[in-house]
Amino acid sequence: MSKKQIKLFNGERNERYDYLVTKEQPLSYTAESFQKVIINLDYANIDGKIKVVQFTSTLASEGKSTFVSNLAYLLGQKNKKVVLLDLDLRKPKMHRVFNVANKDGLNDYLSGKIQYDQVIKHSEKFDFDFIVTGEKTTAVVNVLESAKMKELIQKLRENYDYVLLDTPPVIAVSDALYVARNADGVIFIVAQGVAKKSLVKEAIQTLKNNNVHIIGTVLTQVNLKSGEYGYGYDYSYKYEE
Amino acid sequence: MNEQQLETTNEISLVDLFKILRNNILLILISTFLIGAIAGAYAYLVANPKYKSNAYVMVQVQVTSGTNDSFDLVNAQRLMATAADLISMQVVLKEVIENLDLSITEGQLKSNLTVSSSTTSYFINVSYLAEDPEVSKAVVNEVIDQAIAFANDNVAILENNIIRTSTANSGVYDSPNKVLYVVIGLIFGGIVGVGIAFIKELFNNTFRTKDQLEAAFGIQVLGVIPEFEVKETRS
Repeated sequence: MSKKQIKLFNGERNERYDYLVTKEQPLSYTAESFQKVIINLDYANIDGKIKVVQFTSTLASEGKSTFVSNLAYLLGQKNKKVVLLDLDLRKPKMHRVFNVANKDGLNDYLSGKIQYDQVIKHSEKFDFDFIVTGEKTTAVVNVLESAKMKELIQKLRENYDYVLLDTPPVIAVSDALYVARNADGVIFIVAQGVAKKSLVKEAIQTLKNNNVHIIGTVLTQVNLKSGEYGYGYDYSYKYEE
Repeated sequence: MNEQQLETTNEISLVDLFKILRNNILLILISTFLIGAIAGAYAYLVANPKYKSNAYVMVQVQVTSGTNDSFDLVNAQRLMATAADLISMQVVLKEVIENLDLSITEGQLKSNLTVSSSTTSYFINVSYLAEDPEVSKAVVNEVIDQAIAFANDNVAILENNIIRTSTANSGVYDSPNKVLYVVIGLIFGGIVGVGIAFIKELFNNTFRTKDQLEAAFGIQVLGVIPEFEVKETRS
């Protein structure tokens, strides 16, 4: 039954990436949960050394893009200068969050077609900067490994408080590992009841083997109604709209 | 993770059990009705109905006045038991099979034949289960006839002492008890469903709680994000 709900939910979500729950329902329990992540992230980053944060998961559809775009929005609301990069070059979807065409993006910048100023876009609606993937490329690994990519992130690091990188899942492709070389740490997304434990372990072990610093994990798509969660959870306030 | 946390993770409370059941309610219901339906289908469609006929014989016990009462009682009881045993003896059953031209063995005949006597009366009940009510009737009658004939011819103490007191009628429906099958099927289905639900929960190998995630990797869980629904903005 819960699976059905998740599927329904996913269907909805796929259609509405531009719906940021933290913006639309700022007093909801979900939005509160995101706020908590930010507080925990602040504690984890007490020295302020973590600026470039990568997001990945075991499998696809674990809620990475939703999570990272909501997080970016909330960080922006806290007067942090945030830029969100779509580094899922194989299945880009960040442009859907902002309802823009996937053009003038990362690949175009790396190939020299556009300038730094042009590649960074600003979302009026959500009030933070983002970079889409742009023109499709087959040389994904080359792009992610390139020196220019490294330079770009270095430049972003200087100009922003937070550089958030949305990357493909670990199990399918090794893209996330290449990206991790440019990141200060990884936040690993685990959706409730999606990936088998062994697979998640394999994914995290892969990251560890590559000396990737995992800042923390996040459990997403938690079904509160099923009651499997929520029990023993030390949160008794629930805001209703 | 400290010890106290470990304890709370390993404990399963009644609430947890209830939640497991609630989460798997569909599975449990499906299992209940599926197995109930299978049992029902078996009872109503597959199983051969069996019919039972029965008749009584009475064993006449000679009561001679003036003798020791307890001796009489022991004798009477022995006579009853002897008569009852005699009815299902091979010598009797063999005749029955021959006379009725049945295509079953004596063992099969005996397994469907019930001979019971009570300690408070001199009656012996003879019943037979068969798929055909007429066969059932015929067998009971023939068994009694043959037993009486055998007793009269060969057993001095029972000679003329076994008296037929009723004649078997056409067998009445006896089994399977269709309702019972369905009820047991439903109960069994429910048990199987609950069992599967718990086993599923036991072998659930995805991460379901923050504690599981934290325990598995020793990495801080930064947050727990619930599912949310897209609500259309009211404008």
